[in-house]
Amino acid sequence: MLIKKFKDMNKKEFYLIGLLSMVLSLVSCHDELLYPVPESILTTSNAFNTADDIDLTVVGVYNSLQSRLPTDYELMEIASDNMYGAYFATAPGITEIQALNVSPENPKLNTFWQSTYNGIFRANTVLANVDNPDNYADGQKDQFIGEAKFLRAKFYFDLVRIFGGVPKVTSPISVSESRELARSSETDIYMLIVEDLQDAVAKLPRTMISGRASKGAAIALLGKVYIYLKEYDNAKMYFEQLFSDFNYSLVANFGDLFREATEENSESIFSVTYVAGTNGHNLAYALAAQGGVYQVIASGMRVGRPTWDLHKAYDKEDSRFAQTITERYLSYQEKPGDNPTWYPFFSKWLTPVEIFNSSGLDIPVLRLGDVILLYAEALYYSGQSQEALGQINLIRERAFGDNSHNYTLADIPNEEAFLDVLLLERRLELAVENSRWFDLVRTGRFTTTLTTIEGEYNLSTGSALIINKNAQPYMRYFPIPYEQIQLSANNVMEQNDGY
Amino acid sequence: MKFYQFSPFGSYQWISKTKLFSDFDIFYIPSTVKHRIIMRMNIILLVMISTFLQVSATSYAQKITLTENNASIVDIFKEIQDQSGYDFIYSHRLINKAERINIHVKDATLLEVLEKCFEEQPFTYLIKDKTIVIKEKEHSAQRKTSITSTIKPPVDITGTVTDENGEPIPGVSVTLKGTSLGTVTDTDGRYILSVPDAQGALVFSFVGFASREIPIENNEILDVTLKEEVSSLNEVVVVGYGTVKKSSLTSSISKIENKKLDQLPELRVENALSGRMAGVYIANDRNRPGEAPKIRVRGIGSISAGNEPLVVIDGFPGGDLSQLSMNDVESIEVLKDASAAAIYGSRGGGGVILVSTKRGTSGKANLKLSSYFGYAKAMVHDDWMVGEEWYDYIVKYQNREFTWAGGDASIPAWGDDRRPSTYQSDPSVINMPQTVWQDEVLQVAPIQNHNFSVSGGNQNVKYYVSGTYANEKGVVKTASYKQYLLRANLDVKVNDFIDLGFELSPSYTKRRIAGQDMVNLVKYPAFVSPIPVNGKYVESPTGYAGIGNPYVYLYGTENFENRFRNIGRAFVNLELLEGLNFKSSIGTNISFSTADYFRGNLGSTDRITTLGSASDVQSFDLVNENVLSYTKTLDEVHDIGGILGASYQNANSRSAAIGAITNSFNNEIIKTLNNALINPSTTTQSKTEWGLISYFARVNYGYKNKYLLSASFRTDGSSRFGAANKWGYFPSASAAWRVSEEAFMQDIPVISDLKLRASYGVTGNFNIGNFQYLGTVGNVNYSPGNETIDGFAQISLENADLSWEKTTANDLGVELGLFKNRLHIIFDYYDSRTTNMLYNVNTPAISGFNNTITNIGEVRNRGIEFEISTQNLVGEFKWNTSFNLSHNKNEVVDLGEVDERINSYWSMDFILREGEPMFSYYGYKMNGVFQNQAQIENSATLPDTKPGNPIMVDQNKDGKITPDDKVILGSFQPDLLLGMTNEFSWKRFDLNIFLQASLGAEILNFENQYYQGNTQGAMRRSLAENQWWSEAEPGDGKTPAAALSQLFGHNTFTDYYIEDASFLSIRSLNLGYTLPDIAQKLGVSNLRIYTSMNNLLLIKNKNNHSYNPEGTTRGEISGINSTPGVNLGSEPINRTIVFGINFGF
Repeated sequence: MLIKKFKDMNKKEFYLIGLLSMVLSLVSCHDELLYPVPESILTTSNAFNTADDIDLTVVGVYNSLQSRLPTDYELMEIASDNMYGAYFATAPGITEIQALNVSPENPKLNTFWQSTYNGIFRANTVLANVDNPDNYADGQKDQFIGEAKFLRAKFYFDLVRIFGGVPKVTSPISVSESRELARSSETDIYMLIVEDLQDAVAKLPRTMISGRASKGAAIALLGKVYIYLKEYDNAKMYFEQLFSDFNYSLVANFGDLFREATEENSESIFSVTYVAGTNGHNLAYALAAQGGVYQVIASGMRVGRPTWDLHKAYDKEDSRFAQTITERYLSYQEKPGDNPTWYPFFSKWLTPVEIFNSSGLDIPVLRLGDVILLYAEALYYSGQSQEALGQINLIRERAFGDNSHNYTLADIPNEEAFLDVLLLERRLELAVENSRWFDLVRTGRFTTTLTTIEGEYNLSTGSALIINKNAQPYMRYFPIPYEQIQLSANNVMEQNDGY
Repeated sequence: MKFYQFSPFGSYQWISKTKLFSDFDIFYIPSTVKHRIIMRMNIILLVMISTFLQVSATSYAQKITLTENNASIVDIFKEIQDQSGYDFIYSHRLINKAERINIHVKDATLLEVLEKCFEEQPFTYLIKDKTIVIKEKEHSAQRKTSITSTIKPPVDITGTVTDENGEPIPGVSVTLKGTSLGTVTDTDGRYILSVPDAQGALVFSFVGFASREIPIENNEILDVTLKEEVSSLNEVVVVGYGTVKKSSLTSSISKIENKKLDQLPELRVENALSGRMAGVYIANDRNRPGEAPKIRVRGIGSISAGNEPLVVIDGFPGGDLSQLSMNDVESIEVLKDASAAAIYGSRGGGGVILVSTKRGTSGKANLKLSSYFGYAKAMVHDDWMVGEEWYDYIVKYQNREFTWAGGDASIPAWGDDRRPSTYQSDPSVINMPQTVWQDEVLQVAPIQNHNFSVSGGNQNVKYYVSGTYANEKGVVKTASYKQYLLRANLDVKVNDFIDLGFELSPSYTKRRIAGQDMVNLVKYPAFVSPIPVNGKYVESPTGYAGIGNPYVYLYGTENFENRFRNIGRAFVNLELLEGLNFKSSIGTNISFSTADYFRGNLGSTDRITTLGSASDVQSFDLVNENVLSYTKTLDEVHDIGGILGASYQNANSRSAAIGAITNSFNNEIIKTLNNALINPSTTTQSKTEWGLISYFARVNYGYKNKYLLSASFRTDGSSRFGAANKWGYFPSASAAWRVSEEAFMQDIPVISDLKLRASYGVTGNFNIGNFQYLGTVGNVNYSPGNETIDGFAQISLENADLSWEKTTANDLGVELGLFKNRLHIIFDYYDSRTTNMLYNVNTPAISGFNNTITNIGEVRNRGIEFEISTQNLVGEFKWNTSFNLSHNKNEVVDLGEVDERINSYWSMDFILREGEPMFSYYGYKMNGVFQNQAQIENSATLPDTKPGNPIMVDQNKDGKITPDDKVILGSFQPDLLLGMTNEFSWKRFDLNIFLQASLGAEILNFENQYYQGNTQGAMRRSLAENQWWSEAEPGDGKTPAAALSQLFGHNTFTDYYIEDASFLSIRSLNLGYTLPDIAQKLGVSNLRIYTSMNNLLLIKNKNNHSYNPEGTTRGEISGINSTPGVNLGSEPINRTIVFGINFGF
C-alpha cells in the first residue's frame, strides 16, 4: 500500500514538474506576446528614411489638397453671389453660409480648418524628415523642399483669406503645444507665405509632371499673393518673369480647359489631378441636377446652383456661358426628343462619368487666364491702364472669338469703373473656380455687392427669388471654428470680431 | 418460496422465500415482439456501453410447454420469454456457470418451469414485476467460512425512484456514498445496485430534484421519492475558473438554464435570453437573419473601446455566441458586477458571459432528436396610400414647394408650362395598377432547426456529441441564414489522479444579406409595376423616388458571408492532493470567413452600376490557461478555497480583399471576379496580431456557510498598449452574510433565505485596434501625371502612455426567500465608474490631427435590479412566475479638456456633456408650427424660416434662435427594462409565456421623412395627414411641413423626429405536450410536441412610426462620432410560429 502511494506521488511529481516547466517556458515568451512587430503598417520610426520615402510623403501632402479642393465651393462660391445652396444640400451649414449668417459652430468651417491644417502638418512632416535620407539624386531634395513649401504656402494662403491671422505652425508640434499656440497676425502669415514661395521659386525645377508644383507654379502663386497684399510692383515683376521664362499660353477654346482629354494644356500652371473611378472627385455629382444628365451622369446632388445674378451677367455670345451653366437638360433616363427641363445648374465641371462620384477631370488651381487678369490689375495699379486693358481684352477675345467685345479706355474712366470691368471679367472667367468671394473681399466690394442677390429664377413669373445677404464689414473673415477655440487652452485662440 | 409482486400502491409484498444475489448493474428493456427493431437499436447501444449485459425479449403466453435436452439455459430463457412475456436479466459471469438442462413440461405455470430449471443451478431467481432477475444463491454459512473469512458477499439493493406524484423518474443517479459504485434508474424508475454489504448510504440525485441520501441499514429494498427542487439555493453557478454553490455566491451573477429555450424560434442564442435577466439588455437593432443582437450589461461605459461583454464558452475566453446552438447550451451565466468579472480582469469591463455546453453523464446513452419548423411573418405598416389619395397628397406637397419657391399654386399641377417641371406631377399614374412595395418585398419566411445529440458514458468516460442544422429565410426577400454546427465534448477519467477533456465545435454559417435599409425598398412609388419587362425591372420616371427598383437591389445583389469556425480545447486536470487540483488547458479558436459581393443591374436603365468584391479573413486565437485550485473544509465550519492561475493568449489574423472595377463585368451570368477587371486600389492584404498575458488569484472563505468572503486579483499585460503602460491591475473583494443561517432567524419561519451581499471590483477594457499606441503611417492616394500612386501620410499620433480603460464598480445586493422559497427576491444596487477611458479625445487641428486616442474621461452607470421568482401554485396545476426589472442611469462625468463634445448627423446633434447620458439628442425644442409670415416676423427664428416650419423655443429669451438655445432632447437609452415569464404546467401540458417591456428610450426616426412625400415616393397616411400644407390646411398645428427641403435647416434641428421607443410585447409563448405511454410503446423514452410563437403581441406608442421600436441603423456607441438611436429603415419585427417535436431514446 505504501509503495503504491509512493509510486503515485512520483507520478504526480513527474506530471507536476512537466506542467510547471511548460508554464515557465511560456513565461519566457513574454516579449513575443507583448511586443509583436507590426507586419502590415509603417510607423513614424521606419517610414521616412529614403529618398523614395520622402517622395511618397510629398505625394501625401498633395493628397490633402486633392481631398479638400472639390468642396471649396461650399465656402468660396456659396458665400458669394455666384452660387446658392440648393435644397438637396445634405450638408448642414450651407444655408448659413449662403445667408452670410455664419456661426462659429458651422461644420463646414471646422472641416475646412481641419483639412487645411492637416495638409500643413503633412508638409511640415516632409520638411522635418527631409534630412534623413542620404540617397537623393541631384536636385531631388531641393524639389521636395520646394514642393512642401509651395503647398504649405497654398494652405496658409487659403486660411489667411478665410480667417485672417491663424496659428503659425511650421514644424510638427505636440498636442500640448497645439493647445497653447495663439493666432499670428495676418501680416505674419503673409510673411511666411512669401518666404515659403520665394524658397519654392528658388528650389523647384522648371518642369514637373502634371499635378506637382513647378517653379512656374510658385512664381504665379507668389504673384497672386502680392496682388492680395496690394504690392503691385512685386506682383508685376513675378508675373513678367513668368511670361518671359515660361511658355504658358491661353488655349483657344475655353471649353477645352474643362475636358479630360485636354486637361493638360498650355494654360495650366498648376492643376490638381484626378483619375476617374480610382482617384476621382465628386464635383460633377455635387452640382448636377438630381435626375442626372443624359449620357453624362446618372444622378446629381445639386448642392449648389447658379444664381440668376451670375446667369444674367453672361452675354449671349460669350462662349464661357455654355461651359459654365446649363439651362435646360435631359435627365439621365430621358432620351433625345424628350422635352428638356428648365433647371439651370453648373456644368463647368461636368464630364461624362461612369461612377457618379468619381470624376477624373483635373481641377486647375492656377491657370494663365487667372494670372492674366491678375497681371491686368497689377498693371492698372502701376499706372499702366492701357496695358491693363490689353490683358483683359486678351481674355475677352478668347471668350467671344474676336475683338468685338473688347473694352476701351472709355470704359474705365476711373478706378471704380476699372474694378467693375475687372471683377466682372474675373467673375465670368473664373465662376465656380473659387475666386469670386475673395475678389469681392479683397477689393472691399463685398459689402456693396452682397446686399440682396437673385437666386432661383422662376420661368413662369419671370422673376427670381431674392436672397438676403446683407454683408457687413466684419464678415471679411469667417469666424474661427468654435471647436478649435474650445480645444485650445483658455483664452489662447481669439475669435474674430463680430462673432 | 416468496415472490416480489409489484402492487399498485407502490410497495412490495413478500411472496418469495429465497434471498437472491447478484453483483452487476442492470438494465431493463421492455419486451414486445412488435418493436424488435427499436429493441435491437437499444441492444446495440447497450453493447457499446456494457458488453457483459444481456437482454432478451418474449411474447405473451399463459402456459408454458417445454421439451429440451441438454439445452443451454440461455435458450431455455428465450423459450420462457417467448411463451410467458417475462423478461430475464442476468450477467454473463453468473450464467457461464450454468448447467445444461433437460426439461419436459406441458402447460406448466411459469413458477413450475422456473423451479425445474433452477433446481441444479448455482444461482436462483427473483421475480419483480414482469422481470425475472437471475441472482447468485445465498451461500451457506459453512461454505462462506470455507472459502474466505474476510470477504463478505455483495448485497443487491433494489427499489424504485418516483417523484411526489408517484411518477417514476428515469435516469436518476444512484451511488453508494463515498464510493464510485453507482447506477441509474431505468425508464420505470427502477434500479438495482450491488453493494459490498447492506451498510452505508445511497445517494439519489437528479437534475431539478433535491438530492437525497438514504442510509441502507440492512434494507435491501429502498424506494425513494425525490422532491422537485423548490429552491435553487443548492444550484451550482459557474464563476470564472470554477463553480460555486448559489447560496455561497458573494457577487451578482445571473444564471439562465436551458430548459426550453432551445424550443424558441431564435437561431441566435442571445435572442432566447433577451429580457430574462435583470441588468442584461439584449436588443435587435436590425431584424435580419443571423444578425448579432447587441448585449449590454449594466449600461454603457466606453466610448471608443466597445461595450461588448466577454464571451467565455466552456472556459475559452473570446468566443462568439454565433458559434453556438441553443440546443447545446446547458446554462449561461452573466457576471454582472465587477467583483465577479474581475477574475477576467482585462476584458470584464463590459461584463462576462459564461456559457457551459452540455456534457455526457454516466449511464445509458441518451439519443435526443429535436426539430422545429415554422414560419415568420413581418409586422408591417397598414397606412400606405395609393392611387388618388396618394396623388392628392403629392399635389399638396408640390404646391407647397412651389409656393415656397415664389410660385403660384393655383397653376395646374400638370401640363402647364408656367409651372416648372420640378413642381409638376403627372395624374395619369393614378390609373396604373398600384403596388404597395412594402408588401411586395416581404415574404412569409420559413424557419427550421434540427438537432440530434447522443450523450452518455460510464464512470470513467463521458461523451456528448451533437449536430445542428438550422435555416432561416428572411422576411425581406432573398435574405437567409444557415447554420451547420457540430459539437463534441469528451471527459475521461484516466485514474484517480488524472482527468482529461476534449472539446471540438466546428461551425459553418452561411448568410445572405438583402443589403438595403427598408427605406430603399418600400418608398418606391406604387404605380411602378413589380413585374419585369424583358427580364428587366422597370425603373420609376425621373422625379420619383430617386432610387432603383427595389427588386433591382434585392435580386440583383448577391451578398454572402460565410464563416467557418472552430473552438477546440483540451485540458488535463491533476488531483495533486485531496482538494488540490491543477488544470491546464490549451484552446484554439480558428476562424475563416469570406464575404462575396456582386451587384448586377436588373433594372431597365443603367442607373445601377455593376460591382463586385471578395474578401476573406483568417484568424487564429490560441489560449493556454493554467490554474491551481484548492478547496477544503476545516472542522466542518471553515470553507476555504482559492485559485492561482496564469493565462497566455495570442491572436493572429490575416485579411485579404479584391474588388472589380465598376462596370467591368463581362456579363451578369458569372458573378465571380474572374469575370471582371480587378481594381488595384481595392486589392489589399494585411496581417495583425495581439498578445495578452495574465496572472490571477482568488481566495474564498466561508464560515458555516454564513459569513462568506471572496477576494481576487488579476494583472494583465497587453500588446495593445504603450511600452510604459502595458500592465493593468484588477483587484476585487466581496462579502456576503447569510442572515437566515443565524440562530435568531430560525424563529421566523416565513423567511427561508436572507442574504446580504456587498462587492467592489475593478475591470478593464482593451478593445481597441492593434498598434494604436504607435504613430502610424498610412497610404493616401494622389495621381501625378494621372497615374494613381500610394503616398505616405502619418495618420495617427504616437501615444506611448496608452493604457487600460478601467471600470470600478460597487454592488450591494439582498437576496430574500420567503415561504420556503416559494417567493424569492433578489435586489441589487450598483454604481460603476469607467475611468481612463480609451477615448479619441479631440485635439486642436493645428496639431495635424482632429483627435487622438488617450486615456481620459469618466462615465458613470448607476442602477437597480430586481429579480422576483414565485411559485404561485404547486401540485398538479403548477404556476411559476419570474419577473425582472432593471433601471440604469448613464452619465458622462468627465471629458478631459472639454466639458462637452458635439457630433452632428442630419443636423441633429449628439452630445457628450458632463452630467448627461452619453450621446443624448441635442437640438432645438419645437413648440408648434409657424402658420403665416406675420407670425414669423414677430418671433425669434432661424434664417430663412417659412410658414410651415417648426417654431423653436428661444430658451434664453434673447429674441434670437442661436445654438445657445439648443437643449437635451432625449436619449436612446431605456429608463426601465422589464421581463416576466409565466410557466404553467398541468398534467402533461406546459405553457410558458414571456413578456418583455422597455420604457423611456427614444429613437430618432429619420426614416419617417421618406414617407412624407419626399421625392414623390410612397407615402404613409399617419405621416402625411397632419402636416402643415398651407395656411388654409394647417394640419394639427404640431406637425411641421415635412418636406425634404425643410429637413436640414429646420425639422431635423428639432425633436420632431424623436419618437418614444417604449414597448410591451408578448415576446414568446411556448405550449407543449408530453406524450404518455404511447411514446414508450414506440421505444421512445420521451416524446414532446410543442408550438412556439414569437412576438404574439407588440404594443408601442402610436406616435412611434418605426417598424421596430428597438430598430436603429447606424449602430450604437462605437467611437466619438457615434449616432445611436438613428433609424433610417430598420427591418420589421417578425411574428414567428413554429411547431416542434423532441424525441428522447
